[in-house]
Amino acid sequence: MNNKIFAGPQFSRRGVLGAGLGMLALGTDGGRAAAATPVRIECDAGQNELPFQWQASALEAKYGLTPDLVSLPFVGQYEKLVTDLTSRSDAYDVLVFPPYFLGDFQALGFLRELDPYFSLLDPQLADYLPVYRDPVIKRNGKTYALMFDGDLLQVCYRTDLFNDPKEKAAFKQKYGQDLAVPTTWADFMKVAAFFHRPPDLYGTAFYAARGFCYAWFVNIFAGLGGRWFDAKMNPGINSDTGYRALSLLVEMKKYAPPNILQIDYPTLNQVFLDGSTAIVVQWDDLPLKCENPQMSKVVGKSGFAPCPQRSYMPYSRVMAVSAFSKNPEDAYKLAAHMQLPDVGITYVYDPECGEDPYRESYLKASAVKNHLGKPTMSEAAAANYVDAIRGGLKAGYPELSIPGAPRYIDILDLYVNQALAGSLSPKAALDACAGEWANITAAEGQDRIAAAYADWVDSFHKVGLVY
Amino acid sequence: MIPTFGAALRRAIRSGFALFILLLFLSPVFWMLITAIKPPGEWLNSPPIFWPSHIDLGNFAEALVHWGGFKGLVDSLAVASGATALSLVVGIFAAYSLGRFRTGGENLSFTILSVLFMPPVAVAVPMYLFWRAFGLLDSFSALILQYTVFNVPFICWVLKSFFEDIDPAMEESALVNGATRWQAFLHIALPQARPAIVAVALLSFIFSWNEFFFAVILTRARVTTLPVILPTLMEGHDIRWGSIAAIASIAALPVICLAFALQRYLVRGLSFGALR
Amino acid sequence: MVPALAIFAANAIFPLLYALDVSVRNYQLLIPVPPQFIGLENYARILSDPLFWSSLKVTLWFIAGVVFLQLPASLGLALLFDSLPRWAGIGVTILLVPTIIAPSVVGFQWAQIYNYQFGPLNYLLGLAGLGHPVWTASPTLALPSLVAIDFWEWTPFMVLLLFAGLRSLPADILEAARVDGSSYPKIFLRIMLPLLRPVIGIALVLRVLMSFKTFDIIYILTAGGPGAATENLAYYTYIQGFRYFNLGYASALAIIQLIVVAILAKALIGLTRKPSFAGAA
Repeated sequence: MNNKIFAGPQFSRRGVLGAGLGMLALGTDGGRAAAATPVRIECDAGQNELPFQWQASALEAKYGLTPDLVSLPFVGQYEKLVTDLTSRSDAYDVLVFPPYFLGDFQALGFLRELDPYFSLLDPQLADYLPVYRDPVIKRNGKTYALMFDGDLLQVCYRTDLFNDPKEKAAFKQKYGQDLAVPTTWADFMKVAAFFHRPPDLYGTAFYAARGFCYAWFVNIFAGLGGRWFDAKMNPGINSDTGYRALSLLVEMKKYAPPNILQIDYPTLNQVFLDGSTAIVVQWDDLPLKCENPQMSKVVGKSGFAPCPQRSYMPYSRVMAVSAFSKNPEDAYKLAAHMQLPDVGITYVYDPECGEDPYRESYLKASAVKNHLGKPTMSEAAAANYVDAIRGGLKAGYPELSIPGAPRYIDILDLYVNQALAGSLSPKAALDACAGEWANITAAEGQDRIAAAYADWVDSFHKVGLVY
Repeated sequence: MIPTFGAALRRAIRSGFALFILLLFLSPVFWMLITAIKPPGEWLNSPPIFWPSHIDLGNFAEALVHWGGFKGLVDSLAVASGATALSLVVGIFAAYSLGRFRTGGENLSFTILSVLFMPPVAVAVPMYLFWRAFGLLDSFSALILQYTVFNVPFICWVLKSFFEDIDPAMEESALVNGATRWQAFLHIALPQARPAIVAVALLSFIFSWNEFFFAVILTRARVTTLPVILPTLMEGHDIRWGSIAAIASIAALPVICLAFALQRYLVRGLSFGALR
Repeated sequence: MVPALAIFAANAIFPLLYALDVSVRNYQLLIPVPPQFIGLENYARILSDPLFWSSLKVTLWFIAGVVFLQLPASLGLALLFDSLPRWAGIGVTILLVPTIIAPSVVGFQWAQIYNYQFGPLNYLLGLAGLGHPVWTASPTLALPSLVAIDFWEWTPFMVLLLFAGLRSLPADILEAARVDGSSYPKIFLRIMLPLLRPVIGIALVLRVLMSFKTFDIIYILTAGGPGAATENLAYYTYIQGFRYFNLGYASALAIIQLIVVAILAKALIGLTRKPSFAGAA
């Protein structure tokens, strides 16, 4: 559990800042510097706002800007943003949201093109990892967002269990192969089954609650070679690959704690951090928590690796400038500053904020430090962690980001959850889901979506990714 | 009638059982209050910690300052008071008119009551567009007016049958003696309805204070009532149970105190109201 | 009076008409295509939507909880408090605390209580040797768990209404019956219950209407899961309208809900008509 998450300068959401600014403004005379311009940043409430607060003084010193954070709840962020932006509200200058909203938002005209602003402050995009450089932040060749947080699903496992000679011998005897970090899903199931010894030790755990359970399905689906759609926008999920992937996920429940169907992000962290689970697939900020003695009972006993075959990249966060903002240049400067190589590096490995790396220059073991410069892991663990991220992103499977993506994804989540709950068989669930997807495609306009999807897929090929 | 020993014993048993029921129902509330004063490490433990190692008011500080709990209190108070006041004004007059003079008959009453039937979800979209058209999104007026629309049918319904049952003779005699209809209403009908009015006022206040759905839809940053703050504490990464409990306690206590203060009106008000 | 009513009526009628209008169009907020009239197509799709029927079933479960659990319990508790006149008033008010607490708050608190590993409930059950149910993580237990929360939250409210009703029963009739030597059960069944009928009717109507709208605890505890086991009609309408922004479909769902509710209410209100006592002295 995060005990101390409020380090650094603190701003209450509007009051103190507003009063302070007001006083500053009143007290200015011609000779002094003008008061800092507030830039309104929409972000989901809590720890993801911290990097902005940490950078507040730098922002003020360099550009005369100050972050004014408007927090939206994590659950319901999409609804709120849509209702605000469809009414052309100028309440936000900078928008922070997951890229799977990007296709929608760009198509609906909520976002400004950022390329014209590059001359104000060079965002140094050359350093971005390929998977983020074009596919995530660009549409039709134009840039609409900048990276803030690069999420990735990763394997975390108990090194003490995997390296234990007795365990290795027993595994070899049972399965005829060596006990190692699984590189295929079939092996993953074997490992999970092997270590499943309730109630003291569970084989594995995953996010099975409604909300993100789809991501764990897509992770396996991608690993088995699945694709979201084909060129004609026929869904790829209701195929043998899809059925197999979902069946595997449903089977995984057998090796998980009994309350698996309510396991969400914090609970998933907790079942690994308290040492009760042998191997999990989780977002890649879990390692930072694993090595934090305040939160973890498995310090020094955890190892990290990419997911078998491919690693899904669910969620993440990007920063964009609202099309209705009244001061887009300031908004851009703030966003661009936050993701500069020497700025981002201060927060992408900080356990308090949960942001993850997106630049090549970040993927160094020596960079694994918090925003105050202190190393957050042992050297060995940091090297392992960085390698795992690099390996994962090389075979990263991107989250769908075309117009309508939130709907496709939400419906997939519902059907995956129904399969997990046992009310539908995997085949029935995926067939029904594909049917719903076809409805969405038809409603959105088959040609429009097909073109958007083709453009999106093309951007992966352009940067040399396998898709 | 001297109570026999048997009767006294039976009464003691009934009292004991009633006490047991009260404790049972209140135990989750106890848990909430305890969580609010527990320091951060003790929120989720196995076995659960039923008594904090020390009282940590940090949760309240965090809730009030960092999560905007103070502003939430102020905003909730403003909205709930405004809505209750406005609802009472409209509701009392409407109920009087419906009950005393049978304006519109049964059909009008049923129509007014049927507003309660409409699921909030359905009304949400048109009302969102409606308030947006008037530029009233994220304003106190929008919430107050919206809650008034919800409260008035209930107030009408309870008070209507109340006014129906008032003996018109007193008012008639006052009129004969030169009072205006308005004075008759104010000085004769209204005072008799006092318990009922207090009861519905309290219930309307509670409803407006607790309302979640429309508060979430119609407000952003200028107006933040207490229930709206709660989901923001469900961060994607970490759930601040202590602060949630603190805000919950802050949200619940004023209303509970109000209910206790007005306790004797509650039962009396309702029993003379719609329940005849 | 009349102007106030007029404003109020406008505020109440407008959304209804708007919803009706939108429900016959294929209005989807996020698709830049102007909405067209499609007649009853939304309604037809609803009737063949398995998620609609399951959400209706979930809603009916909540209503069943109201009728078969909350009503008898409230009646019993109201009678209990009625027999303890000295501290009945204060007792009923103390009992009201669960109702006074905001439903969203209730959601959060019960999320903690139902927590599989750390919740006090499982701990106490474990001490009693009753094992550790997974509550909201179980496809079969999740809905009963929520119905239980609903019971906890609203029984006190019904107790208040029924207690007030008991207090307003004509004492002379009851006294006469007692003097006549009738036993308590007979007094209860033959005299009190019929006299209480209007009160019970009102309590039922109010609670049934409100249970249709149950939303907060679902939103916070289960998001409708596992699967769609706890997704009631209100939550499903919310998802269609505010997650997918299928405004046409959501409005049609709302109109259907309105019709069902109106029918139920009309039937229940029939109960509130005052009984007549032919030949009462």
